[in-house]
Amino acid sequence: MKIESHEHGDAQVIYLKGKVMGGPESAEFQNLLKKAVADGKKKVVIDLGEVEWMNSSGIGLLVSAFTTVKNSGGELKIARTTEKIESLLVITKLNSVFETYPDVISAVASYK
Amino acid sequence: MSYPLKTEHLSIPSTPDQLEVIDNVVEAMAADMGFDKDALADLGICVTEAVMNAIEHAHRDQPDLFIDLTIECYADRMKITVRDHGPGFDEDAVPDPTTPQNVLNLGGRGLMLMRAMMDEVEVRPHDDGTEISMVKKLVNSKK
Repeated sequence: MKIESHEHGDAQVIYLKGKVMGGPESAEFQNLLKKAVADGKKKVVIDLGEVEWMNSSGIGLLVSAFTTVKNSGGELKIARTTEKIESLLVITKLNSVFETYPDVISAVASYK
Repeated sequence: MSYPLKTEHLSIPSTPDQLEVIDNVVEAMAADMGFDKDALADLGICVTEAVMNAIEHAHRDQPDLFIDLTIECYADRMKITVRDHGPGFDEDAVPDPTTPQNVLNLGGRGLMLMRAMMDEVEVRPHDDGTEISMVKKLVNSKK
């Protein structure tokens, strides 16, 4: 998994790429998210457009991120889910939890 | 009764850096067999799921304990067996991760994903641990 992070207005956008399988780079994602929350970011978007697949450890990372942002008074949204990720969200019923958007721009624009 | 055309045996330490190695081996063997991209993803998800299960739950804090994998390529299917040497677990004790009260749990989705993505999944105890075996059929690789 590769991780990039950019500010998009007042939103923090985190880009995940490759296979999200709970390897050593999971800590990098968690630290990035903790820093965004510590910096007061209330709008966090995770872009999954370049993710090939994720296993349950990767799904756990997303859930953990969702809860961390929510507990700090913010909102986490997901952009660019692939067909594979969509099917994983349906199987796990997390499609009822995560708001998903076709691209980062519409995800960022959805914040009130 | 059929016999595998190719078999690979691997023993790996219980550390997360092995996940990528195992995924690469399984996906390369499956690609050679003709599995499509979607099925390769299913196999990658499920083998890393089973190995992660052994690392996190069976061999907790014991990276020197080895996980044994057998990958068998048949003409019409791939069979993967992952064997740990931990205390074992009760599958029925894992709460349903899809209920409203559990949907935000951090874990507990591994076996559910394996059962959704593979054609056969079997969890059974062995002499000193647990063995998970799973089969993905080549003809039904769009499952």
